Amino acid sequence: MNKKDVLLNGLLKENPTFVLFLGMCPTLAVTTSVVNAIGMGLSTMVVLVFSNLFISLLRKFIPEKVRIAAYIVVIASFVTLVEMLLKAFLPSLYSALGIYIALIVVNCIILGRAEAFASKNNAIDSMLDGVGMGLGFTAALTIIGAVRELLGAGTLFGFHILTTHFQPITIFVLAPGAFLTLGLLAMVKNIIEMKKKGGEENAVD
Amino acid sequence: MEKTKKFIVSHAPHISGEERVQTVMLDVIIALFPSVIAAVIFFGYRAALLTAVCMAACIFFEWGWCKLLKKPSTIGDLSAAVTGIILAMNLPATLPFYQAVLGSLFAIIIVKAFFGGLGHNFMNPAAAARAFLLTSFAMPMTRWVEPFEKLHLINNADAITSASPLSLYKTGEELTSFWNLFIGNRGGCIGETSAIAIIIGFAYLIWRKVIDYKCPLAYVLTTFVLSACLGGTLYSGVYHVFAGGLLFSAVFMVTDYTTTPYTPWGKVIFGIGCGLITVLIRFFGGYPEGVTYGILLMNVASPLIEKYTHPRRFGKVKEAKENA
Amino acid sequence: MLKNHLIKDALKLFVITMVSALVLAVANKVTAPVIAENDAKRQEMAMQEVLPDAKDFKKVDTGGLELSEKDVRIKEFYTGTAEERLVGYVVDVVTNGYGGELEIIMGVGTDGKICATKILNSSETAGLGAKASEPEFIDQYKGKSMLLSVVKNEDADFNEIEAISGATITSEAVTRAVNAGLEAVGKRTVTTSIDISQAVNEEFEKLDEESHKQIEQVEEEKADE
Repeated sequence: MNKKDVLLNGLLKENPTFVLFLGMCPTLAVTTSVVNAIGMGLSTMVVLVFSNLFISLLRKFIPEKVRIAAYIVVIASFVTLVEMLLKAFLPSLYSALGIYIALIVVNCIILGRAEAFASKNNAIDSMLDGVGMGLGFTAALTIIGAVRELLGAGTLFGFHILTTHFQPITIFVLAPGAFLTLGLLAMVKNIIEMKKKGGEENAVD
Repeated sequence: MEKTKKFIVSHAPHISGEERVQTVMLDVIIALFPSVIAAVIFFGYRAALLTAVCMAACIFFEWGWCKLLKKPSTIGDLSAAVTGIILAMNLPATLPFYQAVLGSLFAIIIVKAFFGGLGHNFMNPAAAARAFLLTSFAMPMTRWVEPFEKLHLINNADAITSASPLSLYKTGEELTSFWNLFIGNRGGCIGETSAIAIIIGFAYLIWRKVIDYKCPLAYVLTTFVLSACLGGTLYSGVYHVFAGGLLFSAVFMVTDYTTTPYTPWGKVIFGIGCGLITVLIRFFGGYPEGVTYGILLMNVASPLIEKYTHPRRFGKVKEAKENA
Repeated sequence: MLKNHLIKDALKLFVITMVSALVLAVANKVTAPVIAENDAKRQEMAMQEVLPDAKDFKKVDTGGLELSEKDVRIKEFYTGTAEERLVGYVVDVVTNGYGGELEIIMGVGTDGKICATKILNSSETAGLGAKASEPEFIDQYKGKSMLLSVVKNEDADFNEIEAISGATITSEAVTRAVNAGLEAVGKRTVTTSIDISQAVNEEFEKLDEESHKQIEQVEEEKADE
């Protein structure tokens, strides 16, 4: 795969949320508002890029038998770093994301990419993969967050978009709504893909 | 040689009765009729309108879904209509119409259609829709008005609110009288208030052999016994059977073929489970009413219950005995 | 052979962990003071919001304060002053709401009236109990100075709070916390008065002693003459 493919892979073809269905826990929990979603997505991306980078640099050094333990040490260190930096310099985002910052460690996307990509590719490619996956994750979270915030609270980025006559549909900012939104959006993506594939097949004829 | 009639060899069934999905559903609609009339008597024309809106919405969504998937329309089996009426009966009289439509959408499309349509849904669509609406529109869904209040189409902010019999029990205030509980002169969802109407419907369905008495009986008895024990008096047992949505659900919702066990003992266990959960939520949980969640939780457990209550095949001996 | 492998792997893992630990220790040193400063600033902002006339806040120890309300805890108690003059008190009260712990902060003036109340932490139901943070509900507490009770109808007396429709338990929790805060202020003002009068008494006693001594001196001098 060339560099561009590596980058774009995480955005559409292997989007971590809608295709790989990885990292469901933060996806469902933190997408109650767009701001939180973007914050979580970018924090995850930072950790993903750096952990991919370092794991790739160390891939010859890390012994195979203890590789999972080594990956987790690296990932956990970066998450702790991010947590400390957020707490010090972006406290409102820190309290919004709360416990889910620490949970980035067990976000399957990061461990998954470390094992599937970073341990087998060079540093530049690994970084690009991290960026691509991170952006795909952030994009997915943002879309889900936008739907949930708009329908569940009538706001976007905290600003009232829908008029006061709109009664917010509270379920969307709660857990059941998260599942519903994720499922429905995945359905929409699949429909679009099917239509595209159907169109291509017809075009070939 | 006399002329022989053509001998047609075919697969079972060889005798077919009159029952179709349609006839069963029609019977349910007839059994719901007394409750609808009671709803209109106590809550006025808006209750009738709410019922009509739910019915129409459910039928429309099912028709729309079939059209979208280019399948033959299934609205003729009347199951969508029944879901609509039952959903409406579970709503307060002042609920905005668009919310009722959203609930109908959830029931028909997400709970029923997405999972395969009639016979394939794993949750009771009306109960699930009610849970959906309760979580989405908490305040409109828990706003009860006094019976015989003049209700407007859109804005009912001025209507006198009343506490439902169950919320009165929860906050320790004066309880509704038994007579009012029985005939329906109390606050609550439009279909659950009139016990007598529900009992008439129950009698009709039993007579028509549409429902089995086991599940409703188990449900009501369990609730009665547990509430009497937890409430301290026999009357609290009676009160809890007649207050809230218990009787209505016992007749119309725990008897749903698709989402409840079909084995005899399974039905009993289902009823007991529902009763247990309902009473636990009512007495120890945060909500005054526990029926909806009791039904939904037991719906999810139904396949497991069926697995363990399978009737023994005639002639099948337990294998352990052979090893002895 | 295997043993060598094991030791080598373990050593490599150890190295990775060591480096991580060092990096984190450095980062912690850099960020810890910033974090502490942020927390203090946030608390001060909240206090300023509920007691706007005050400029400085001093924490007061209220250990052992007995309250008549159950299920409440005074987390922190501050006196607010502006130019050496006592403006009022800020109380941080914790109680149990419907969905978990509920923490409020309230400012009470020296006249015993509440300036403002603010909900700091809560996990109440969205659309119901969460509405307690909205001005429509929380502003009801402004100006109250006596123990409050919760009512559900719409005409609340001056010592009553109108509950949020469908969120009685949350409304009662907030009111309970506010009552506890008012009681704490009341007890504190009494203790302050006692302190003040004690101090005054001590001053008088000292002056008394001095004047006694002076009288003795004068009498001695008179006796000498």
